Amino acid sequence: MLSLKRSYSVALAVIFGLLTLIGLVAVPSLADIILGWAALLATVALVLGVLNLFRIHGRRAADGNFYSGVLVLSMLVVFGLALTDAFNLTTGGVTAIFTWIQIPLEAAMSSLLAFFLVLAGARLLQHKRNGWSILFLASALFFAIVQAPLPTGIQEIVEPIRSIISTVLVTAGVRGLLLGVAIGVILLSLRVLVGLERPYSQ
Amino acid sequence: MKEINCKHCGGPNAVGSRFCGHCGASLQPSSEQICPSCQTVNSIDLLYCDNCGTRLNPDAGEEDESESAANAGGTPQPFSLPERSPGQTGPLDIEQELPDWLRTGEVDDDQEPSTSLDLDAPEESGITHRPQDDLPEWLVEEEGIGAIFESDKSTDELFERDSTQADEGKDQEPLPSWLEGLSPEGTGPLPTLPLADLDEAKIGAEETDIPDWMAEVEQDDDAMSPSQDEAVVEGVDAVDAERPYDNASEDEFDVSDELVMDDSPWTGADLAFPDWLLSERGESPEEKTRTESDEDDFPDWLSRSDEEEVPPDQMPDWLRDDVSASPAPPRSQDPYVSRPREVEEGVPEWLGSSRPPEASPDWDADRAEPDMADTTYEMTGIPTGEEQEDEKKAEEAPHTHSARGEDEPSETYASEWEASFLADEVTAEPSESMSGDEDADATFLRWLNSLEDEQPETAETNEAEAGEAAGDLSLETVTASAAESETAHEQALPGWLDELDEVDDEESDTSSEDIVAADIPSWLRDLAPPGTGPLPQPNAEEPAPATPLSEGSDDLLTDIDTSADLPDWLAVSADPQTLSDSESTEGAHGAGSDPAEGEEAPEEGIPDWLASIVADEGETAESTDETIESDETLIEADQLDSEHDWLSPSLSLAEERLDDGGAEVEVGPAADVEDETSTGDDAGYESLPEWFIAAAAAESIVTDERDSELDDELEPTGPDEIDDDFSGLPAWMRDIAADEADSLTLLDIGTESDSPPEEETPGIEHVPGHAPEQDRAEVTAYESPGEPAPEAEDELWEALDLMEAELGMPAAADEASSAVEPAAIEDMPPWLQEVEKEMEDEAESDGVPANATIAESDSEMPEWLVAGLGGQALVELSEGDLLELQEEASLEDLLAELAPPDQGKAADELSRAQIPAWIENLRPGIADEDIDFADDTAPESGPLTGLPGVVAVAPAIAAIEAAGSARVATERNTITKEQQQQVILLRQLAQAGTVVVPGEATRAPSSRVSASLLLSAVALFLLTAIFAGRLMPDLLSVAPPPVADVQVAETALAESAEQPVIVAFDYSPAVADALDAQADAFLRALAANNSTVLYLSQSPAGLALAEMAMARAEPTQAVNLGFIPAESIGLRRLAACLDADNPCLSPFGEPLATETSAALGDAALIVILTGDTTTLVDWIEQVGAAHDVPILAGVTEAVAPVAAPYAATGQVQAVLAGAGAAQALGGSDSSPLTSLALAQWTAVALILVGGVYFAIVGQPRGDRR
Repeated sequence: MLSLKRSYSVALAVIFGLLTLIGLVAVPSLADIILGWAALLATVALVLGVLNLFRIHGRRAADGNFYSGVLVLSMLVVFGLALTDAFNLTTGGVTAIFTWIQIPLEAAMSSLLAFFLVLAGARLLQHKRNGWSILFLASALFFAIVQAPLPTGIQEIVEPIRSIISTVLVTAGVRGLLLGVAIGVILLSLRVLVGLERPYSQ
Repeated sequence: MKEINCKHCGGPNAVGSRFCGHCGASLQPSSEQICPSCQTVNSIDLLYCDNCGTRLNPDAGEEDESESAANAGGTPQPFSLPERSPGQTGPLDIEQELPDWLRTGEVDDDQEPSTSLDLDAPEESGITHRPQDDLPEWLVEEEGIGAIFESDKSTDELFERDSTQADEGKDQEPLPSWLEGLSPEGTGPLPTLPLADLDEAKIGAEETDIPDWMAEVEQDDDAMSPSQDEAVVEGVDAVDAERPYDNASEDEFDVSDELVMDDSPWTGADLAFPDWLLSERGESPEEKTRTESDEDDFPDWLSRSDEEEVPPDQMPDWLRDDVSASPAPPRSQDPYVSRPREVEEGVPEWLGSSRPPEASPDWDADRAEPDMADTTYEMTGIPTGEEQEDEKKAEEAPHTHSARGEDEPSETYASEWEASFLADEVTAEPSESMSGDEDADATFLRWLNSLEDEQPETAETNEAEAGEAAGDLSLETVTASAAESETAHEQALPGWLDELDEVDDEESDTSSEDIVAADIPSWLRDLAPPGTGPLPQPNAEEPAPATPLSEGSDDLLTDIDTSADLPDWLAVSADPQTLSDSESTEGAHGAGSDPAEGEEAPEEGIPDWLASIVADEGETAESTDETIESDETLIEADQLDSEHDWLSPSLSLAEERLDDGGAEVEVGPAADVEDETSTGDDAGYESLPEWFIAAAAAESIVTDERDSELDDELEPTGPDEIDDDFSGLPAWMRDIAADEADSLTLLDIGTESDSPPEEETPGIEHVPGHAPEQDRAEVTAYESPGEPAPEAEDELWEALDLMEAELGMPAAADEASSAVEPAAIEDMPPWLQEVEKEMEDEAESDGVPANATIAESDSEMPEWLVAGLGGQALVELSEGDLLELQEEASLEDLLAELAPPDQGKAADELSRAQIPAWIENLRPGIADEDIDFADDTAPESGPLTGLPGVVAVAPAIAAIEAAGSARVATERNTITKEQQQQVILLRQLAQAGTVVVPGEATRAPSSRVSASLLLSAVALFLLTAIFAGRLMPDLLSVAPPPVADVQVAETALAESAEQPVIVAFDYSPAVADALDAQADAFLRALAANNSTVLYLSQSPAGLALAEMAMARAEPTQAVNLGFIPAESIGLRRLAACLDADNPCLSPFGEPLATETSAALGDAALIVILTGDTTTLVDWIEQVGAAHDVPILAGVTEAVAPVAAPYAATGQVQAVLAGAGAAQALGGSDSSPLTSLALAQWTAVALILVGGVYFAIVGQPRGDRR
């Protein structure tokens, strides 16, 4: 049974992968239809994901987990404001939530990231006192200083160094990463098309 | 403190010392001792050297005596028992207890002070030590004991003999268990040395331990004649005569008394004699030709013919010794030569043991030479002329028995000890106290000699030898040749008689014969044919003077012939010859001699030859006062000999006894009637004890009466007699006698027809002067129930066969074995035979079939077994059925077949009963009927497939649940909150004990403080920098880094003026600070270019950020395309919308508005604001690749390197990164840049400070991993 299920899934994956490939290459409409089904499925999956998240955190909130309760409550509030905005009962309710709650929170989280990165960089040599640590720390400090707004006098001194570093070193590295990712995506797509890779079965 | 003296130096040593502290000699007891004279190693238990005869330990007596003297408080004692210190070696205690003079046998007054006690000289102490002083008073008072001191024989030898005898008694085999069982307590064991008690002067023993007869001697010493010889004789006779045996207590009863006591009112005392003695008393010449069966009864070595030389190794040791000691043993072609040996085989152990064993003791090594074979030969087997000749030849040869240096008598008597008997008789002067038994002894001897005259085979020689014997037996000859005949006499005597004779030798030459004569057991004297009469007859040829029975009647009446107490079975079993004879003559006896009857054993105890001999005796005893009736009886006995040989002796004996009273003895009518009516089988009761006969007689009287009437009949007819008869018995035998007497009543079942009428018994006339009980015995001997009728016999045999079958014995129906079984039964003791017969008779007397006994025995079967038999009466099972059952199936099979019908129930009850109560309490509170345990259907699946009887689990569980046991179980398993807290606490404790936080324990408090301070400082510095840039004026005049793509972006924005521009807000609020600035820059640029902004987002928060940016930038026209799901797929679908010809659907599948779709198709620029690389890539690959719409990427500084390659390839027109790009793009407010610059510098500063600090200080302890 399991092998049969796998066979069906593999077959479907292979079939729709090839159809999508063919559609992208030869028949764009066919590709659009298949991609529309995929988008629909992704949307349903998003809804299922939201419901599953609500169920789980609702259970934990029932068990007394405070944060889960806040999460569930936030979901209900946002969903409620969305409904009210949809039925014009309210105006800009969801936007307000995003503006006054989510954006400051996410900004705070990013600032904390900056805070922890600074602290980690400061204590790097406390745990790893080797050349690579020093190099890593020096790079971070260099790029932090170079990328930072500097006074005009200093900016002119640092700009050629930063331009070289960003256009040569950083672009080379990122390009290599992108090429690698692109090769990996091609390989992965071929494996999926031939059934060797089954990410859908996990 | 006890000490032991060194044997070597005599020095005192502590008990337990291993070596002498004075001389170093070993103090350990040794098992050997070295003769001081010849240095021969002797055993420790020897008193004298085995080589030279030297006393081995002469000092022992001195030490002991000195010790005893000290214990006596210094009071010199003539004789005291010495004590023996622990560990002290030396002679045995018993030897030490004896005075030295008694041990050494040397009565030397000179040595007495020095060898006995370390006392003052007798003269000094004023004590005259006499040899008698060492003896008990009772022995000292015995005048005859003086003979011991005056005897040539050393007392040591006497003592040695006694001790040896005692040892022999110990070594003797014990009595059979069944015989011991018969002996009640108090009677003591049967004596092994009947006559040896004469010599066993139990020194130190209390008078109560003295044998009764000796006690009587002590009491009646006054009655002894002045002569010591006579005194002994008279003393012994006085015992026999005066001792009222009836008054003797049971404890005093001793078989020795039986053997000593000879005068029994039952002149037929020989009825209880061992049959072998009776048989050996005489044998008819006709019986000399023995049958093969007789030979078969002999031992192998004995059964060999005389022609064949018996190998010495097959002989008994004692006989082998004798043969070796006797180069020319008297042998004869007469088969009787082997008879003594045969008799030896049949001699009871206790009697046989009276003879010294093969290993003659030292004290009597020379005397022990005449072994039992010779003794019995002389005693029992009357030698024929040929034998006498052989004896003469043997005597002429050097005889090793002449250890005393005495010449062997050249002349040979029929039995030399007989000659001594005769000598005793002759030398013993008749006295008033002398009873007629002495005469009877002499008569008996003459009778014995006369018997040999009657040997037909040696008729010629007998005549001469008879005269010679007569001459030898004469007074003169005996007296003259007393010394010469002594040796032969000793040879001829059995061991125990020899001992007796030895005592005589010690006393005097002349008195020895008297003693021997006096000590002849009464039963032996009674062996004499009645015809000889009790009166002494110095010569067999001379008629014995008729001694009125009345003279000795008192003694006879009072004395109880205890020999009659000898069990008959012993007598019967003692003589295998009788058994063989009985078997051989069984057929000839016909119905009247059926061996199955219990009385057969005593009947057959008298062999035929005895009857014939007696008959011959009757013929030869013409000189006696035999009556015509006795002759006739003897004649009849002769006639009956051919058929019932065993009848003859009884008849003759009875007649003779009747005649013993004198000529006036008359056979009463009853006797006559008995002669006429009673069959010869009746005489078989001669061998029965008197009580048996009495009981049988009583039974015969009450033939037709019941058992209850028997008692009534016994009392009027002779209650006293009966009582006396029983009273004469030991208590235990009296009980048995009573039982057997009762059992005899059953014997009449088959003898009613043959039993004499009841009224005949009273007709018996007691002979005047004859004891009533004597008459009674005689009469009952004839009137005792005879042979059962053949019909009754058959019935008894059938019952016996059934019993045998029941007991698992071989099939009684087997004819081959049936011929043997009677003999086997005869081998059984009579009392056992009686028991068996009693069982049979009881069965028949109750009218129950013979096989009913099986049913009775089966009544002991378990009920279920009986029930398993179907309730059928076992009596219905015939003998054949039982045998068949026994053959076909074993008992186990029978039991298996007869399984209890209710076994299942019983098993159930058993199993329930075995369940403890506490287990029952654990049983769930449901009724058994709720669970169908009786589901016999085998499961069709599972591991128990096919197994029947599997309990269905599901119904059981369901029943339990229905009964609420599940609830109970739940409640029982419920964990309370308290228990949960306890569990948690325990868990925490356990984890606290096991979990180790690395470095935590070792971290110093300072480090903790520094870490906290560091964190706080970092946070403080960053916040300060951020807020300082926002709040503080732009003091720094920072300028954003130059962005090359700003111009490309401004160009693209400029080219898209008045055209729709898609702005994707795919960034999160986290990076909103950097991207919002770009978004604002783009929106202001777009607003400035009057472009329609179509904004969308792949993130839910993006739309909000877009709205906010729209609100800030206030573009001219803005269209919210909404949320684009499915990332790349959604972007792919969006890309399709960019084509103006294709309808575009919303992400929810709804067609977009026409304006929207047209705007999408007209979009001239795509501005991607994102902080995610993937999103940038998706836009570039899915949308940018599908259309030639330029893409401007406003990204964060982190994504900028990733977007750089796409910008380099032209896929992205320009990449604007960070806040500086926004500022460069046309931002107006420089405050965020300052804030950003201050924060960024602060961070770099903190990292640098921290890195330097930790690089210098080093890592703290505990953080090293």
